[in-house]
Amino acid sequence: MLEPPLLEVSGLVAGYGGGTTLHGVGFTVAPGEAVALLGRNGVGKTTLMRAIMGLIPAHAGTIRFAGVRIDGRPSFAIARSGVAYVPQGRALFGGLTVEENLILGDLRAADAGRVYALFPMLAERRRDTAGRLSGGQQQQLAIARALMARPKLLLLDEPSEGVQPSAVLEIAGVLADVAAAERMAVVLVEQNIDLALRLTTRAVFMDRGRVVAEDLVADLRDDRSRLDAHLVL
Amino acid sequence: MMPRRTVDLVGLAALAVFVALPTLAASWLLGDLAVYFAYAVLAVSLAFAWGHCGLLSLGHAVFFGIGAYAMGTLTLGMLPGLETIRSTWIGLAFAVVAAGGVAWSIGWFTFSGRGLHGAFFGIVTLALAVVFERLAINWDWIGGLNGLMNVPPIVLGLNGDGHELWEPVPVYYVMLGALAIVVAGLTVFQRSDWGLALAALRENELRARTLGYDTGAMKRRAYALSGSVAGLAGALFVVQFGFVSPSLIGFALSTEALIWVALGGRGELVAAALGVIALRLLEGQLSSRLDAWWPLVLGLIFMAVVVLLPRGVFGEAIHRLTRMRGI
Amino acid sequence: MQAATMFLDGANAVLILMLVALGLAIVFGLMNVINLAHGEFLMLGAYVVLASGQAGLPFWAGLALAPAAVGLVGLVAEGLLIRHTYARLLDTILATWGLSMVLRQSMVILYGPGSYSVAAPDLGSVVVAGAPYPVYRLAIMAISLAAIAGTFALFFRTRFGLAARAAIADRAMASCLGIDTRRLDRWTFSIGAALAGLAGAAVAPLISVDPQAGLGWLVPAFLAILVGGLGSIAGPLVGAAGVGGLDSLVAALASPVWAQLVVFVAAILVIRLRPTGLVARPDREA
Repeated sequence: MLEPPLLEVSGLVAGYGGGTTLHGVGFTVAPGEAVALLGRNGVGKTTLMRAIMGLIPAHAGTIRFAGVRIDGRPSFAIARSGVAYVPQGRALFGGLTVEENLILGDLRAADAGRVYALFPMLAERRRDTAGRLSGGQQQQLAIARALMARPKLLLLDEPSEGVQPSAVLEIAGVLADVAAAERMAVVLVEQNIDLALRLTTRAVFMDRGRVVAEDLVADLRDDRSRLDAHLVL
Repeated sequence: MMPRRTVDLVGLAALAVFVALPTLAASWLLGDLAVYFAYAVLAVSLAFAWGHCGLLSLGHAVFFGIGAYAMGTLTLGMLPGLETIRSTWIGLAFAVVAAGGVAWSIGWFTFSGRGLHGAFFGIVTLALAVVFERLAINWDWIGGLNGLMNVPPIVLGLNGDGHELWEPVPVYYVMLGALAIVVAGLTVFQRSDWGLALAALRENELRARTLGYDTGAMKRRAYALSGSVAGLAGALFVVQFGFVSPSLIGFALSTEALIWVALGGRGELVAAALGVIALRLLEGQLSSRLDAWWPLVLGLIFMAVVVLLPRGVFGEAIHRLTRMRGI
Repeated sequence: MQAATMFLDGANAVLILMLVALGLAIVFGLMNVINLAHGEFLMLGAYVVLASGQAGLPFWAGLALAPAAVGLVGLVAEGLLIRHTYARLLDTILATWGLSMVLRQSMVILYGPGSYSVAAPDLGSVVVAGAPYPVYRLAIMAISLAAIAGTFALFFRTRFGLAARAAIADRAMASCLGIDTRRLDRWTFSIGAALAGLAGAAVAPLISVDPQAGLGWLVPAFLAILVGGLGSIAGPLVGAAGVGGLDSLVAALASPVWAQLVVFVAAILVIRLRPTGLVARPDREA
């Protein structure tokens, strides 16, 4: 690493209620790097994202963002320091309009012009209620909302879920452009392995609440058997 | 069979102390305590509804008042067609049934279908107390603002004839006995299958429903039971005081009962009973000294206990003792 | 004509009740807090008018001062008390119940248990449908409407309101977007208190100003919310219209005692038939 990592998770133990889902997770993300978080259902990928976002408390371990500890801090403070989260299911405010949802991404912004330029479809539908959009449109809205605040790190959980493949590709394209332009790091949880490998440069594999392997996507693409080996674990 | 649970031992110890007390205490104290025992029955009924079943009844005194009025109107021979029935025992039964019936009806309105959010149920009971108090004030047949006077005391005979219970010591033991029976009975109920199901419902009603329990019916019955016990308390009260007035049915007494149970302990019936007795004894000492500040101080203590000691003073003590002993 | 006066008085009562119910509903919607001291906020508003009158200030100064003063009390109460019981909903109810006791008793200590009256500003009267009607009462209606409209504007036209609506819909996600939900809570609670304080100040000349004054509004306000439903902002208003209207009608035709009874029975009947209230919940989540 030439510069210090943007996100540094170390020995993280966390879970819901009284239980523990993460048993000592450690991984890093460099500034501007796109990392895929892969593994079967239930291994703790979403839990890890929620823990980074401060939605569940860490029992042990540390999470550092831009060198500063964020574990234990309230979610809004973590968001304000530059982390954006698009959860599984998108969590849009269905009763509010597209424009209102976007403004909520950054209440200090004058308007959503920058983001409308990236997603022209949203500009056309700015007064529609978010609940009326299609799956693909909602995903665009969720991501656009996250991008409003110009985050340094974007956490994306299952963005392709419930979205048509053509729409997924479109979104992927925009994301790649933004990430490159703004030097935004991305952590992506995805069941669609091809999409994940297309968008990222490094893959981190989880199993049973731990990180069990890491590999460069370039290497994985050249040798599919390595990928299968990681996923079978 | 000797009970092993800490809470039971505490209850028995307290009972022993109270049984022995008349040998030492002055008769005015026994008189006061006898009234406190009646209040304690009310506190226990509320602790059962709230602490065990999770039903926050903000207007619980309404059942106390209904019981008191029921007892009063019957033994005074005011009920049309029943003028000759003056039996204490029928009066008690009437009090229990009337109060329980009203409680069940409220349950029917508020617990049916998906029922009301717990807090809103509380508001409904509060509204009930306010409405009933206003009714009582305005209903001249039951005495209006002044209420009913000269309600007969406990009469041991079958129909209002026989020995009247006036002396402090016998009345004291009757009230203590009633309280002990109520606590014992409700405790047995709480530990039965029914009671355990109700506790599960309190913890997670959704889960109980998905497990197939008819939670609405369970809550109705539990609330009816609680209401009838509160009605009994009212009847026990009125035979000592000899009068019943709208203040026994309304908002002020309901609030007091809530304070008693919060301070004593909602989780254990014994804690609630001890709480009201202790609090009333304390109030007897402090309220004349503190005057208008007493309710303020009480309110502050109440807030502090709710925030800091949710198990209540006696409840917390019993909890710690239980932890030390292991059971 | 008696009917016109009856109607105007009823409209008066309904609008004030709407104000009170709105404050309660907003606090509940955002914070899941059932504030049993809300009636006392109204009572405090009336006392502010009384106190400012005793200090020689004109009535309208008292009216303007009341929401600010009571809003401040709400802010303090939230910080000292409510924030500690967020996790336990039923305990929040108790804590606010304790607060209401403390507020009531504080006024007893400060002003005594008796009641005071506040003189209405003499604005004369206006002839409505053949009968004279005090202009002050019309002023109250105007004030209430303005306050309700202002509240709507705050919640639907400002970024603060947008943040609040988002937090009501999905608190966790709002926080993930950088919204400080705790600060929202504080200000929302304060606004709810201020609304009640304004209501209390406006009705001060019409009621007996005593420590128990708040209670008479608490129960109807809650019944209004229960009947109207909490799914949307229209719910409490519809509920207040129903409860207040029915109460005024029966009180005028029979007596206030009957009114209270009828309203109660009607309310629990509505709740039995439609537990989520009269106004349906709009589609909330995507």
